[in-house]
Amino acid sequence: MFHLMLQKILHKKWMAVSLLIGNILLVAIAVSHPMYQEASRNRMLTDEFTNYIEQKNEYPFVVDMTGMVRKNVGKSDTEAVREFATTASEYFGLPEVQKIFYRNLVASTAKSTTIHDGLKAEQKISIGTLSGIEDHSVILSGEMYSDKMTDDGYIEAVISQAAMVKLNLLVGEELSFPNVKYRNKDAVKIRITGVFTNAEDNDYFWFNSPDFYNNCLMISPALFEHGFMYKNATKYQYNEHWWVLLDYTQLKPDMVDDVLEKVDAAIVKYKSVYSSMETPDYIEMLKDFKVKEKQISVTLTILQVPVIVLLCAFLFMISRQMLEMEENEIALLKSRGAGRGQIIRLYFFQSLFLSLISFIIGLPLGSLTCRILGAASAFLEFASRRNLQVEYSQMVFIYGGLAVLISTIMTLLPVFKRDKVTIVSVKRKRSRQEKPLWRKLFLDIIILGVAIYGLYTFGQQEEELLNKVLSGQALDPLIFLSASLFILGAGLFSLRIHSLLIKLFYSFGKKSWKPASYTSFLQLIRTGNKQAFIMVFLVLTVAFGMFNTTIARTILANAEKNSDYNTGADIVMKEFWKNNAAYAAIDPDVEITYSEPDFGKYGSIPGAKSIAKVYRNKNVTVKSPVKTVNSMIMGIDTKDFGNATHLDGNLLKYNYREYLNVLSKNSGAVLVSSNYRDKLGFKLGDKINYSVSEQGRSSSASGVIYGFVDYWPGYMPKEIVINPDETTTTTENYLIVAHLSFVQENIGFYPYEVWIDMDSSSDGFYKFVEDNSVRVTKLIDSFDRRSAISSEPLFQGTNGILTMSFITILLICSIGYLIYWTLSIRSRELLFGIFRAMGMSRSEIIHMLVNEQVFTGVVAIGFGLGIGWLASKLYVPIIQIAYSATDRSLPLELITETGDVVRLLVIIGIVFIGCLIALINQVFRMKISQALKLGED
Amino acid sequence: MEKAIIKTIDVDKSFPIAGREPLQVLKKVSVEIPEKTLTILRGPSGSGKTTLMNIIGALDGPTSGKVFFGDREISAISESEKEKIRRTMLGFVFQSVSLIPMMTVYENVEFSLRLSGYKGDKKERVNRCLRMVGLQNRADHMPQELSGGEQQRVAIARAIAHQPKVVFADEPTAELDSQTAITVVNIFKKLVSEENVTIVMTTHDIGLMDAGDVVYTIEDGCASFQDNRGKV
Repeated sequence: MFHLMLQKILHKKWMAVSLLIGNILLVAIAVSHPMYQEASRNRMLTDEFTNYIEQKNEYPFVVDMTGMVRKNVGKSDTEAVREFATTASEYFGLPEVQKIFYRNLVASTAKSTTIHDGLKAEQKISIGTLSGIEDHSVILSGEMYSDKMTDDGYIEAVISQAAMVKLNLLVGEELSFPNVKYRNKDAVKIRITGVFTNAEDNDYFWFNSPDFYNNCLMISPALFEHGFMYKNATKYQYNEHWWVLLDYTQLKPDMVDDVLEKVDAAIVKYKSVYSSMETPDYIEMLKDFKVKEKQISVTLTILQVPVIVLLCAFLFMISRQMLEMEENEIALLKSRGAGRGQIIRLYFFQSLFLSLISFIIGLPLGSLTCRILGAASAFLEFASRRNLQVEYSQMVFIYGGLAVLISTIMTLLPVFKRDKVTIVSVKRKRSRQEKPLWRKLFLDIIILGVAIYGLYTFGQQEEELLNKVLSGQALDPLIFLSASLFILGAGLFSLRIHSLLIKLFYSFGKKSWKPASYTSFLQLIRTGNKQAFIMVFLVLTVAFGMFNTTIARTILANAEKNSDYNTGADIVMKEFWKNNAAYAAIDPDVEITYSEPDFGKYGSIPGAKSIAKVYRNKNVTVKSPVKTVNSMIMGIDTKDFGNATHLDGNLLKYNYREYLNVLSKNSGAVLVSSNYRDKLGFKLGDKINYSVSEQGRSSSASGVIYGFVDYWPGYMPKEIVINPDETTTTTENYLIVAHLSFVQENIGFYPYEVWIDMDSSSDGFYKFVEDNSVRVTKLIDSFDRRSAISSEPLFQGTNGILTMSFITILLICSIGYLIYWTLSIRSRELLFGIFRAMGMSRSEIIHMLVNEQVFTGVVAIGFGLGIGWLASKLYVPIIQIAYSATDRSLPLELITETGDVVRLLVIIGIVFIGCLIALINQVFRMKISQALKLGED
Repeated sequence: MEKAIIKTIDVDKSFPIAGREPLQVLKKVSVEIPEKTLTILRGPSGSGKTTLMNIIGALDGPTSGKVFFGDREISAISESEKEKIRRTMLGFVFQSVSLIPMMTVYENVEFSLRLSGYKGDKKERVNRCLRMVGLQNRADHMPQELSGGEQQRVAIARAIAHQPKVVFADEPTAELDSQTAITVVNIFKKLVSEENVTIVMTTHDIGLMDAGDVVYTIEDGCASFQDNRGKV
């Protein structure tokens, strides 16, 4: 059997190679999914931790426990805490980075026996011990304590710099603790021998910096235990603190749920009067991560469905073609007595064999794909970034196995359909064809109906969907499904139209068609089913390709545009203004005055095209007959502002510059947001009174309304706030744009922002800041924000997956088309022989084939582009909700890069031309007498 | 002897075989096909009769020697001229199914009219040809719906439709039972007398040999002549 199978494969090497390519791609894509998901989750989690460190400046994964012993009570609880602390690493399954163990006596009052300045009579100083301090610190002055009591009955101690300052202690100072006594009633005496600090800067031992121990005399653990615990413990109250730092880099996303549970369990378990475990800050972060992770995972999974479906269709198609070629052989095998089971087994082994090879090649290819995905910076764009850590997890093998299973099924399906053939039925089957089932059942129209119903339903719930996404849920997968169904349904429906079109075209010149066109039309009309599959395939690939590029381009471009718009200019910054705030704080009668830093220096920023002063204040109150609202005021120099900012032409009723021109006509003129008109009833020419509160002082001014604007650089018309109960509230934002000089005269002279329009990057600005030592109090860098958006896991994953899908689609589309045509010609060699014998010339035959190609391929691509465009138009506005953020201000703009479509078309065009060359070559090489012999078996 | 429509003079044909001496199929064959006859080329399989027919049918060229179609030497004309001759003056019937599968019986026959640029009433001509082979009521069927004999008759109708001078039939009866084979040969005979066409047919069927007006026996690449006309 194996031998027979190998022979079969070798006999049809090209088909087998194509099947193999399809299989390999399927496996690679299937496995790259969990790989990528896993890797990007890992990266995301690492990023979360990194952010945590940056924001809190604190090690992110710490188990923080306290045990207390109160006059011999609570010992067992403390023991339990101690045991937990030593096994925490095991419990969480994370390696221990550092364990910090600190014990201290509670409430010990000390009296210094050394006379020096500023001495306090008695103060609360704690006696403590930090295990391992010797190995992690250096002594700044004096020396480290000894493990033994001195001969004169002192315990030696070291202190931190902070303790030295706070407690006003000196090296060599001696203290006695009247209420901490030995058994012989002698007070405990301590001599300070040195001041310690951390030996290295980045030592996890100093999770709590030395300054943290600012109220404590550190003595040797042995003396602490000997003196205050065990035998003598009855008398002393002491605390035990544990900080166990675990290696967060080893925390895999899969472990997060488990860790969250374990933390909760531990907190409950160790919460007693005598022990406690702190609720760690990172819990919130991890919970957040879980939500985001799920959202991303759902979105990315769904994005991959179409390409997997297409791959399956591809395998089915190839397998079917291969079988068609083998029909005679199957019939022959049957006539020689091979049973149904034997034939199925033969094909089963064949597809299993191919699948296994694919599995072996597909795994590393998947890992490669995954790495490429990780480098995707935008659609069809790659940038070198941090490498993704690709792992072969269990899921990878499960997905790979599933892919093998699916491909085996897909390649076997046609066998089941065909294994009933006999010699007789093969010949008979080539008779008049029936309409395919889907056409009889109007499946295309049903699918389209469902898809459009879905679209309609989701369209109705747009607000609700947005709220769900903003509160951390994933977009309903059914939306994606609905879009895919639409493309599928429309693709099938286009076939219906296609055959109508051809028939119409054919009937135009039925009588006068030249033999070549005549034959090709008849071929298309009468053997439509054969072309149907390749056509659907082409339509779907092109449509999905187009749809994918539109989603990818649109979501990213819109997010970036929103970010740019909300920022206002390339760089928005505020410099520190010297002021008398400190005096004003003491004397309420003093007004705060600011001195303006030199503005002229901004002219020297390398790469800055224009610079504008913008005063912004959100504490503006406007009273209107309807209601009193809170507004923002923006004070600008119209000319500079116009140069430093941009606003898309279609956002305002008139040209953006015209509004600025109008405003510049009158120093008391203002532009206000449209909601002043729509919600509060203001009209053009109305006077608007507003009061601005700055530094607790409020001043009033008024302006005449010269225009209403829907949008304005840096102005968010609506703001969405996520409430704690995960609902969202939309608030209306009001805006008044006035002249900066007018504002300064009427409100006061306060720090303004500097808005800078840069050439192509913000590098020059940073150089300028450094060179001029500018003290920046606020900085928004649009370039930075844009690159931050594209590296967000959701955007990056989407770009990566859509790019990969697009490339895969191109690949299978090309291979599929090539195979279809090669086979289609090969199977018609006899027919061509007959045509040639009847006197048709080679060029007529080529003409016939080109005609066929145009009417299947080119028309299918046309349909594909149309459907892709339509699907984008209908579904992208809803799908982009999955990527929406609370800062969305601008209306959605669909973006299809012509370049992407051109890329798609160029590649398909190359395949077309390749097919054509192969065709011409084959037709020219064909010998009539040999072709005719093909019919003689 | 009356005028020959096709004449070959010392035709050799050999096929190259990789790494070996070329295989010589025809050796100095000279035949003359008389006009308006049913000429049979007979011989066992591999004797070279199909090769000879391909050469005189302008489907293939000789390695050496000359082939004349009427007065024209077709062994010396361009491929496109040969195509024109095939299209307008020759008709072919092949051993196995040679109908165009996506065309109906009617369209198959009409197709040869389209190719030759037939000027007359096409419908009338197609129907006449179908009547001649007795298939007028099968015009709208697809070839696959017909029996082997019926298909061969359609092929004959197509071969004569554009009123060619010569129809070549390569083993047209090989896949048919003897009864059907006789029907086909009878149709050929009828066509020769009614349509004034010359028919050249190859066969290895000894039973059909005497049906021809003229018989060439091809053996080991050489042809010998036999004239049955005037025999009873």
